[in-house]
Amino acid sequence: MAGLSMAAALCLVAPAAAAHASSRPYVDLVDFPYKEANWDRFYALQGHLMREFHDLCGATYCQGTHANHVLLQFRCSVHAATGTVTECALVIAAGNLEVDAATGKVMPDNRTWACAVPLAPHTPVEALHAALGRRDALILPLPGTGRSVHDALLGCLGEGGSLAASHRRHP
Amino acid sequence: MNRFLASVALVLAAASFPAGGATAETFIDARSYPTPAAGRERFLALETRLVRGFDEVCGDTFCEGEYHNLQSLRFRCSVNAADGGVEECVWTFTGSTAQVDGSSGRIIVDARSWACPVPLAARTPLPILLQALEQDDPLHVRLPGTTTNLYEGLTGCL
Repeated sequence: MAGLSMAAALCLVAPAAAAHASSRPYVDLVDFPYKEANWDRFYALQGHLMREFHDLCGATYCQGTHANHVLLQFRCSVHAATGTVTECALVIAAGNLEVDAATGKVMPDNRTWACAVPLAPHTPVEALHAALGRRDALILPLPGTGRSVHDALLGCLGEGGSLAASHRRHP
Repeated sequence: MNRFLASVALVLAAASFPAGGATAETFIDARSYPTPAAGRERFLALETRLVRGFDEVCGDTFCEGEYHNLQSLRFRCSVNAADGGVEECVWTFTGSTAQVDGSSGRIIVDARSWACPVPLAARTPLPILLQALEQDDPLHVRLPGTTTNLYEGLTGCL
């Protein structure tokens, strides 16, 4: 818990870093083309993807002991100068609880995944919104790669996450 | 005399066997008590009620912190198969934050989960616990035999 507090503190301090935020090459998709400019459209897109994931999950990932997968979060980074997407991640969690018949302990088995969206390099922001804003967005091929988000999730959820471990503060 | 002592020893052994927790089926999932057919629907209805109760309070309480998207994952209890006394209940949650590294463009993900024990009195009978929580505001109902409730238990956990 102390580690978590330290990590949180590191994210909240450093006003110097905040002052230089606008000069950094990459921004959150929420903040493109300027701070919070894409807020409403981005969160509408995230809500759409959450509903699509929920609808798809029962027939795909949400089976077996971990049948309660939830899409927690969707995030994308953008190269501000060119307006192209660098990467997008889907954060997914699921959990099971089993009773130990001998001790009575209720044993948790919770899992989280950070799965990369299979985007082509230099995908324009508008192309991303158009592709992921569609109905059946998770199962339709993405422009430039021919792979769908569903294709990527099948591998990611079976392997424990497709983003590198170093991208996670709590792997 | 020897036969008497042997009989006493057998009786004591039989009486202490369940209390020792040595059998493989001493404890079962509350969904299966008293039988899977009778217990499952009622328990899962309670779980749905608890999730709704959590979602209603989260925005103004637990979801105001670093993890604003906290979600309930699962609620389960173990009970003593012989007498229906609850041994333990656990409620699990998950939440995340994700931030863009402005220098590299990489997305830094911090995804967590919590397993929160419910502050129950020892050997609370399952029917009593279910009845107590089958209320409109189950998170704030006093847990039988205690002076606390589910909400306070979560406050110390999340």
